[in-house]
Amino acid sequence: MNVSCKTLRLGRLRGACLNASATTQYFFETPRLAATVTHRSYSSAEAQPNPITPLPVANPPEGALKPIEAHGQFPRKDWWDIAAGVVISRPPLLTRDLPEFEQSYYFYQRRLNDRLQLPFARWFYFKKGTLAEDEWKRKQAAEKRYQPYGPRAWADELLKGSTEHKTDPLKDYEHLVATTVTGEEETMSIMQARQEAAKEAEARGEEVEYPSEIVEKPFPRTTQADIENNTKRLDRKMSRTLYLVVKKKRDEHAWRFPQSRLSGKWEHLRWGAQRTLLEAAGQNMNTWFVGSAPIGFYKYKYPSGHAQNQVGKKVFFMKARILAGQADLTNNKQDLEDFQWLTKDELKDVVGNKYYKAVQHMLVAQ
Amino acid sequence: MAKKSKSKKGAPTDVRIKLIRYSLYHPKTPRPLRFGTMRMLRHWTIHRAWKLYQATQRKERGYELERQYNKMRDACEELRLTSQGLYERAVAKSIFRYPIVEFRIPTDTPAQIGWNHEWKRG
Repeated sequence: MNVSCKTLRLGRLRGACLNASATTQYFFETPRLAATVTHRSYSSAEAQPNPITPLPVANPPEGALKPIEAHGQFPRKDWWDIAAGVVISRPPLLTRDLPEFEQSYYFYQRRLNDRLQLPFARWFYFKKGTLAEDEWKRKQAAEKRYQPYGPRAWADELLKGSTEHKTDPLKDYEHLVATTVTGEEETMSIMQARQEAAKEAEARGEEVEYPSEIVEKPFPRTTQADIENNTKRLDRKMSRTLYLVVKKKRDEHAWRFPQSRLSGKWEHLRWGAQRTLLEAAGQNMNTWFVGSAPIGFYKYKYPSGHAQNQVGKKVFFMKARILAGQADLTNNKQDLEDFQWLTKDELKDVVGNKYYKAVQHMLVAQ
Repeated sequence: MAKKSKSKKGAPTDVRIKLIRYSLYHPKTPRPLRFGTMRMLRHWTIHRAWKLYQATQRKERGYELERQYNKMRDACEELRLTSQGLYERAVAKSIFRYPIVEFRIPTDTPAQIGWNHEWKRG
């Protein structure tokens, strides 16, 4: 029985291990390809065994010990800690801000369009002698627009140094509401008068019902958080993507994306990332993890004496998005003391240069 | 023509017909853009600048996507070399693909509540 087994093993391994002292201990040696083939870093390279998820061994021979134990040293001396990092972003809520060049180009094209159009058919939209027609006339007179039908129709270009295109009604939303032909201006003045009347009546002691606001103006693109530059709030820089960075309680390399080592034997990157976020920033965030594959990695070596067996750490970043809620660091399990929501440009000054270089290409510019 | 029909029937012409006539027979139709030499030159310059700008934008966007892709590919390769098991689970195709109802497309002006900070997990 013993002999037949031995011959079978030898046959399978094609005589790779010929040390015949198999009676006491059987040394399982995988045929090391690396010894014969030159090492390459791309896809044909051999996977490196890892303590967390050991390499699946195809058909280990009966009676053979597991490869890690067989090496005679456990834990291995040269393995890397694997950590999952979370790049959680708040996608832009607003369309992008137009650069100066685009603004002036669109203005130029609008003026050309004015020159090509027929005059506005007032008789079609307004009946003669109505209030609406009066209001339209008033607005036209007040606006001092460029006249594409007069003798100076050719003068549609901006003069050098002119800032006319910046106060253009089609760009400025507040101005647009105040001057549209649909009569919001009139309605708003009426509502204002009614509210003032209601206030006076209340001051006199009468019971009044406040008139509700009918006209809803669009809200400004810059919010209070923008003015205060409150980096904790999520309604700041609404036309850009914001990323969550957290601060550890230490002096160096304090600011970075939330990260933690994978725990347990069966945790994979996505679960690890979800757990990391939960431990770091609390549960009151409505998040969505984009995929299971990492979008980038950062690896660094530990300083000597920091760890006994590990060489360093490899952090694999997972992508996620926040849909509602806010980070909350109270009772976090990762020794964090502060957080910020930053754009890509602001990130550079907060996390160090080295870290930024490692992560910059996986973040979007806008 | 408009006068004829009016005098015959005594009823006003249909608004749609009036509008068609307005756009076809208006004395200001057609209104060609007549540019002088210098103006044409300026126009051409602006046009070229705009095309150049757009090409630059497209290129930048393309490069950005490429960089992101490369970063992702490198990370996956590093993961494969580090741990085969983790890699296989990372690149496995997920079955659960469902639309996210909370997504909003970017708008020109923000909502009344800029961001829901007080969201609580149910």
